[in-house]
Amino acid sequence: MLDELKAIVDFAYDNIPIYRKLYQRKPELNSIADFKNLPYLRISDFVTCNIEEVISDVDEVATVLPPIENKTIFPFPRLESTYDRDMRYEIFYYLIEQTGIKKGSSFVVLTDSSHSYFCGEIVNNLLFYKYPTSMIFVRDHTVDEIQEWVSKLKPDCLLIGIDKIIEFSHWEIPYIFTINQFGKSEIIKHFDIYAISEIGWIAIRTSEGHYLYPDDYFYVETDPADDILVLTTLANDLQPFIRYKTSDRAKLLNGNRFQITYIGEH
Amino acid sequence: MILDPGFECADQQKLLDEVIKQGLSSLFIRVYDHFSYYHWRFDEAGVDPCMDPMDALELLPLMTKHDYGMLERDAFICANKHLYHAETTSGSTGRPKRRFQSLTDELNELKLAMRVFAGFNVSKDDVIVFMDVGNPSIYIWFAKAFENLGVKNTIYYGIQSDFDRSLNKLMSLDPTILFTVPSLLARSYETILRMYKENKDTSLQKIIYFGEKLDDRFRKRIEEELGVKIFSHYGGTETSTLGGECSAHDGIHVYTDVNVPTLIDPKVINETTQEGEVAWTTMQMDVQPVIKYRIGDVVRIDRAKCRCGRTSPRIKVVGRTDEGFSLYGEKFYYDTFLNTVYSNLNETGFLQIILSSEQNHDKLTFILPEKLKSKESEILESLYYVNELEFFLEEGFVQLDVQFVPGSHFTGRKIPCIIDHRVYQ
Repeated sequence: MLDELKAIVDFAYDNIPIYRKLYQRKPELNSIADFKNLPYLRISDFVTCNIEEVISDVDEVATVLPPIENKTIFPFPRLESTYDRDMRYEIFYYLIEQTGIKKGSSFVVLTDSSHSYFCGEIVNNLLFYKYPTSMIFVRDHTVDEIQEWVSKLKPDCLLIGIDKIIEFSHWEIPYIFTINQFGKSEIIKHFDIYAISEIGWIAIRTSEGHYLYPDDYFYVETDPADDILVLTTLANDLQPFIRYKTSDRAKLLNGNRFQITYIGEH
Repeated sequence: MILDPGFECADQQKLLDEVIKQGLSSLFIRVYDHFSYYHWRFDEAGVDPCMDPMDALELLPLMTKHDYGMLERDAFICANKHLYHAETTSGSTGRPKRRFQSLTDELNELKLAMRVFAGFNVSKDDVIVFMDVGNPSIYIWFAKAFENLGVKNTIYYGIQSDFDRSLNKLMSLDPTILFTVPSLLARSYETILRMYKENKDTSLQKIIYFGEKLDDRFRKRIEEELGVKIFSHYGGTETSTLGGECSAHDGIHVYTDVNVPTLIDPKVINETTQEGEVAWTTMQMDVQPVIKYRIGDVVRIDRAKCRCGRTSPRIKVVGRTDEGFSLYGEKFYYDTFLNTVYSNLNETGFLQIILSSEQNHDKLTFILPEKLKSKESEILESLYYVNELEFFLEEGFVQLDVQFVPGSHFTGRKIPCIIDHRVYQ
C-alpha cells in the first residue's frame, strides 16, 4: 500500500497545483505513518483554486460527473479522464457484485429532477454491465402512481433516487437500492450506495449492515478528532483526492468495511 | 402549439433588426475577449468585434470541426466553477470532441428545446418513452423540457440487442409518444410492429426521432403501419437543439433569434428557398459558442411562412458533407478510424470503411492494404477500443470485420472513404 500511496502523492505533487499549494514541498513518504502526517485536503482548499489548478491535465478531461443532487457544496464538478471513468465503472461493478444479485437482473431507477443526471450515470453503468434498466422520472406523482408505473415494469431491483419519502416495503420487489440512506434498514434486501459528488460511488451497505468498499481503489481513514471519514482515491489520474476530509462520519471496521454514523451536507 | 409567438411568428426583418443583430454583437464582443481562437480569427479577418455584426459575420471565416477543438481549453477554463456538464462525441481526430456547459447553458437550451417540443403538440397526458441502448443523459435533458411543458409521465427505457426480450415490457407502459434514434428504431422495428399488431388497444400516436436522418421510405412505412405521426428534433453536440418539425410536417423550424444559419455558396431554388451547406452561429451558448460552424449538413432553407403560422425558417437536410457516419445516433468520423488503424504502425496508409446492415446489427468492414495482414489482431484490438464503439460491440449492435486487399485497390482508381450500404425499411 505504501508504494501506491507514494506514487499517487508524487504524481499529484508533480502535476496538480492544489497539492503543491497544500504541501509546499514534495513529501517524502517512507512509511504509512508519514502518509498519515500529510495535511488533510479540505473543501476550503478547492474554494480558492481555479479549475485548472485542481486537475492534472485539461486536455484529458473526458467526463463531467453530475453531482448527486444537481447541487453540491464542493466548488467543482467531478472531472474524469477516460481512465478515471473506466475505474469508476469498475468500482460500480464491485459494488453490484457485493449484493449477490443475479447477472441480468432487471432494474427500475426512480429519479426526480434533482437526482436525474447522477441516476442517469447509474443507469448507464447498469446497462453497460447488461442489467436491463429503465428510469422513471418522478414529478408530482402520488405514491400509488409511482407504484403503478413500477409494477408495469416488474423489476427485480428498484433503485430509489428521489427526495420523496415513500414506503416501499410492501411493493414486493426483491431488492431495493438507495443512495446515502445510511439509517439501519428493516428490509433485508436493502442495499445503500454511499457516494459523494466529488468522488462518485464509494461503498455499498449489504445486508450485514456495514459498508463495503473496494480497497484497490480507496484508502480509507477517519480523523481521530471528529470521526470524519477521510478518503484517498488510488485509481484516479486526473483529479486524485489525497486524505480528503469528507462531510461524513464513520467508524472503521475490520477489513474493507466501515459504518457510517452521519452524512453531512454534500 | 406555438410556445413563443413573439419570436416564432415574428416579422423576420424586425427580428433581425431588434434581436439578432444585438445578439451577434454581444456574442462577438464576449468571445473576442475570452477565446484565443476567436481573438486570432477576428484579427486575421480584420474584424473589429464592435463593428456592424452582419458585416462581421460576413467577414469571419468558417469554423471547422478541427477548429472546434481549439475552443475546448478556453471554454473549460472560462467555465471554471460554473462548469456543469460536458457533451462528448467520438471526435474527428481520434480524441473525443468536448462541449463544456454551464448551468446557464442548460437552462437556455431547455428553453429552446421546450419551444421545439411544443411544436410536436404534446399534451400533459402524454406518456413519453425514450428508448435507447446506453447513456440516458440526453433523454434526461429532454425529459426536463417535457416536464416544463407540463408532461407528467416520461420514462427512459434502456434496451439491449435481444429486442424480443428487451421490448417485452414496452407494451405495458403503453406510450403515446416513442422518442428514439432512427437506426435503433429500424433495428427493433420488426419486434415493435409485431407487438403492436398483437395488441390492438394501444395508445401510440407519435414517434419523435433525433440524432440522424430517417429514410423517407422507412418513415412512410412506419406512419402507415403503426398509424403514427412522426416528428424530427434537429441539433448537434456542438450546437445543441436547433429546431424541430411542426404538425405541418413541411420542414424543420429553426429559430434565428437563438441560432443563425449561414449558407455557404447558396443555390437559389425559388423565391423563398435556397440550398447549400449550413454553418451555425449560436448566440445563447454561454461557455462554448460557435460562429459559422460547419456541422456537415447540406440543407434547403425555406423562408416562407409555414402553414402552422410560424415565420421562422424551415430547413430540410438534403445531405452530409463530412466523412463520417452515425451508429445508433452516435457520430463517428473516418479520421478516427484511420488514426486508430495506423496509430501504432509508424506509417500512414489507406482505409476504406463499408457499412452494411445485417439482420440484427450493423456491420463495419474495414478494407486495408494486404501488407497490413500480419497486424490484423493488433488493428482489430485498436478498433475495438475506439471511443463509444466498444459499447456497441459488447452489446452486439455492431460487428467488425477486416478485409485485406491488394494495394491497387486504393491506388488504381478513386474510391470513396466510406460506403454506406445500410438501408432501414
